[in-house]
Amino acid sequence: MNFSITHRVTGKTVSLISLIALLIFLPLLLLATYETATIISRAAGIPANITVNAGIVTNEKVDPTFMYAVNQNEQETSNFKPKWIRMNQLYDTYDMVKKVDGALVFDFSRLDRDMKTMYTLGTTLVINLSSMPPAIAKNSTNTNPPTNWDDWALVVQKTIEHVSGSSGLNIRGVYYEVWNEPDHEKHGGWNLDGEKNYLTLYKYAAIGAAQARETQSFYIGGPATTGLYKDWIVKLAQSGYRLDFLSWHTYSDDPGRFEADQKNISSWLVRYPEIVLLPRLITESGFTRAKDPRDASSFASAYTAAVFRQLASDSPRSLFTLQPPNTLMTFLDHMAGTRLYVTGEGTWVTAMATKQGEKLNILLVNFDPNGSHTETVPVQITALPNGTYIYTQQYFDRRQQDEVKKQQVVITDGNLMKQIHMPAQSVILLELILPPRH
Amino acid sequence: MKKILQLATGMLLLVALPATIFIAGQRQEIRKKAAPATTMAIVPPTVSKKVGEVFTIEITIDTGENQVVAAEIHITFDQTKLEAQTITNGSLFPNILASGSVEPGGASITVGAADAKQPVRGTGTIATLTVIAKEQTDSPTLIKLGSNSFVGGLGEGATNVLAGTTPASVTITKDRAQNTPTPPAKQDPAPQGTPTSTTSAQITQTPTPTPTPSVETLKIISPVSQDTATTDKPMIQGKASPGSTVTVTVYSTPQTMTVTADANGNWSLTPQAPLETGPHNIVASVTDQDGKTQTATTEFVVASSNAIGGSESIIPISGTTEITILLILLGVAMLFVGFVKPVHV
Repeated sequence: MNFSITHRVTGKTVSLISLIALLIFLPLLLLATYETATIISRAAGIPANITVNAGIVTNEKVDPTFMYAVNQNEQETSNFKPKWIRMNQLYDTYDMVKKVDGALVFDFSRLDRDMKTMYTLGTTLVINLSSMPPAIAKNSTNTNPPTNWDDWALVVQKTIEHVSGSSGLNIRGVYYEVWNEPDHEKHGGWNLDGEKNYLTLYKYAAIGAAQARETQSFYIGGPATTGLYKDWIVKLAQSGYRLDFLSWHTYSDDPGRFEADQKNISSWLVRYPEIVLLPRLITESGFTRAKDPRDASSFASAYTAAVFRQLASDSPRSLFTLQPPNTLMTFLDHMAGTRLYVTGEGTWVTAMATKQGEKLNILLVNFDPNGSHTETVPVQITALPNGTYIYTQQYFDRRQQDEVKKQQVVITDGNLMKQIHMPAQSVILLELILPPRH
Repeated sequence: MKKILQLATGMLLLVALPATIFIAGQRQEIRKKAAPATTMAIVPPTVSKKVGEVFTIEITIDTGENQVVAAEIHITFDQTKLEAQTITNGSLFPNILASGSVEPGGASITVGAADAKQPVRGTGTIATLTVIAKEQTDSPTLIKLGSNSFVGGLGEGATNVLAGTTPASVTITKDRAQNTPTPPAKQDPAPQGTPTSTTSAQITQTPTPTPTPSVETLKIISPVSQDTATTDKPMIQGKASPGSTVTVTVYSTPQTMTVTADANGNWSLTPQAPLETGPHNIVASVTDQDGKTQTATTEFVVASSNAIGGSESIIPISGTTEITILLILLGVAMLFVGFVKPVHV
C-alpha cells in the first residue's frame, strides 16, 4: 500500500490552504512587526542632557494655580484649597426645573445647600449647564433639544439670576459652560447643523444670559467638547453670540497633546482678534476617561507633572484633571516664578526651570506612557554667580515620604553639574538658593 | 433739433466719461501706502559669529496704526548653518498663547497682548531667539520671518496686518570674528541732497587703495522707505565714508553686490538681476578701519509692468484705465452710429 499526500492533494487545494494560512498569519506578522518597531523606537529615544542658563531670565511667568481645579465630586478628596470648582451637569444633578400648570417652576434649595459647603470666597465656579431639564425637553429626554427654545433661554436666565444675582447667591465671576461634551452620543450627539445644532443651543443660552437682571459679573462660553475640534471652535467664534471663554476636554496619555492643542487653537484664532485672547478652560482631562488602577500611582503623578510642564507658560486659565494627585499640586507650587532657558530635554525626561527671588527651581519629569523607563540625567546649571549655595533635591512619590537632600555647594566657575537618577515615572524638584547680594 | 440734442449728448459722453475715469485713476492709491502698516524685523540685521558661538537675536515689531492683539511668529533659517535653541516672548507681548518651539531650520511662537482691552501699539521686541552658529558660511545666510507669520489686529477681521518683514544676515567664520554686530543705523526718511552718481556699477569694483580718514554715516538715499520703483532694476544710491566698500544685499531673493563710495562719499548701483514685482528689502553694510560695522536698511516696492513674474503687487490695483476708456469709446461710437440715419437723396 502506497500512501502519498501529494498523490491525494490537488494543486487547487494547496493554493486554497496557502491562501487561508496567509489570511491567518499575515495580520499576526504585521502586528509583530509593529510591536517590534515600537520597541525599537522606544529603545532609540533621546536621553536628556539638561542645561539651565541661570543668567537669562525670560518674560514668561509661571503660575501653577491654574491646576488647582477640581470637579465637585472630587473636592472632598482633595487636600488642597481649589481655586476652581466645576459643577458638572447642573440640571441632572439637582433636577431644579419643573412644569406646573404649564409654567416653569424653579427649586434651587438643594443647590443652595451644597453651595454652602462647597463654595468659599475666592473660589471660581464653573457651572456646566446641562442636560436639558425633562420638564422642557422633547419627549422628556434630557439629551434632546427643548420643545420650545425660549424655555431653554428662560432656564439659563433663571439659573444665572439665582447664582449670580443680587437677590440670589450673589456670586461674582461665575463661568457658565453651555452643555457637557455635546458631541458625545451619551450627551445627545449634537452637531453644528440639523435639529440638534449646538450653535442653536448656545444661541438661546446666550439669550438667556442677556436677559438675566441684577447680577454680578459672569461669563458664558463653551463648547466643552470631548476634544479640541477646529470646526466647533471656529464656528462658535464666528457665530457672533456672546462668548467669554472657550472650553474643551482632553483625554490622552501623551502630555504633548496639551501643548499641541494650544498651538492649534492659537493658530486658528489669531485670525479672530476679538476671540484669540479669551480664557481657555480645559474642564476635564486625564490619561484615560475611565477609572484606572493607575490613578493613584506614580504613573498619574508623572503624567500630571508632564502636562504641567507642557502648559506652564501657555497657562490656560484652568486645567481640571480627573483624580488629581493631591500633594503633587503643592509640590508644583515651587515652580511659581519667571522662567529660565532650559535645553536638552529627551524623549521621556522633560524639564523646566524658574526663578523666584533668590531661589532657582528645576522640575524634572520622567514619564513613559508605555513602560518603565529609567534614566540618569546630567543636569548643568550655568551662569551662576560664584558663592556658596544651598542645594535641595526632592523626589515626589505619593506612596512614600519625599526624599529630601540638602547640601552646601560652592560655585567657583559659574557652573553646577549634577547627575540625577530618575526612577520610572518620577518627578523631581531641584532647588538652589542663591547667596544674598551685598 | 432732436438730432442736435442727441449728437450733443453723444459728444458729451465721449468727453466726460474718459475724463472722469482718467481723473479717478490719477487719484487711485496703492492700498499699501495708505493703510496702517505693521512690520517685523530681525535685529541686529547683520551678525558675524564664529562656529560654535551662541547668540541672541530679537524679533521686533512696529505696529504702525494697527492695534495688535496677537502674533503667530515663524522663523526660518538654513539648518546646516544655524540651530535654534530657544524662542521666547518679548516684553511687549506678555501672553504666550502657544509655547515657543524649535526644530531643524525653524522656530515658532504665538504671543498675545495682555488682553483685548490693552492691544499693543508702537514698537518693541515681540520675541527673542537664541541660536548656535553651526558651520562656516560661504556667503551670508539669512534668518527670516516665514511667510506664514500672522499678526492679528483689532477691527481688521481675519486680515493679516503684517505688511513687511526684514531678515537678518548672518556670517559665520571659523577664525576670529571679522565684525562685531551693531544696532541698525537710523534710516533717513528723505534724500539729503541731489545724489551724484559717479560709480553706478553693477558688479564688484576694485576698492581704492587709501581710504580717507573721515567717517561718514552709512545711508541709503534712494529708494526711500516704502517707495515704489517703476523699473525692475532700480538704482540704489547712498552715502558712506569716501573710499569705503559698501556691501549691498537686496532681498527677497538675495542679490549681494559691493560698491566703492567715491571721493564725496556717494555710491550707487543697480541690481544685477531684475527684481520681481512686490516688496523688497535692502541691507547695506560697511566696515570702517576700526573694524566697526554700520548697517542701513530700507524697504521698497517694485511695481513695474516689465518686472518678472507679472503683476503681483501685494494689494491688487483695480484694472487699467486705457482699456476701460477704449471700451467705453467703442460703445459710445456704436451708440452714436445708431443716431445717424442715412440720408437718401
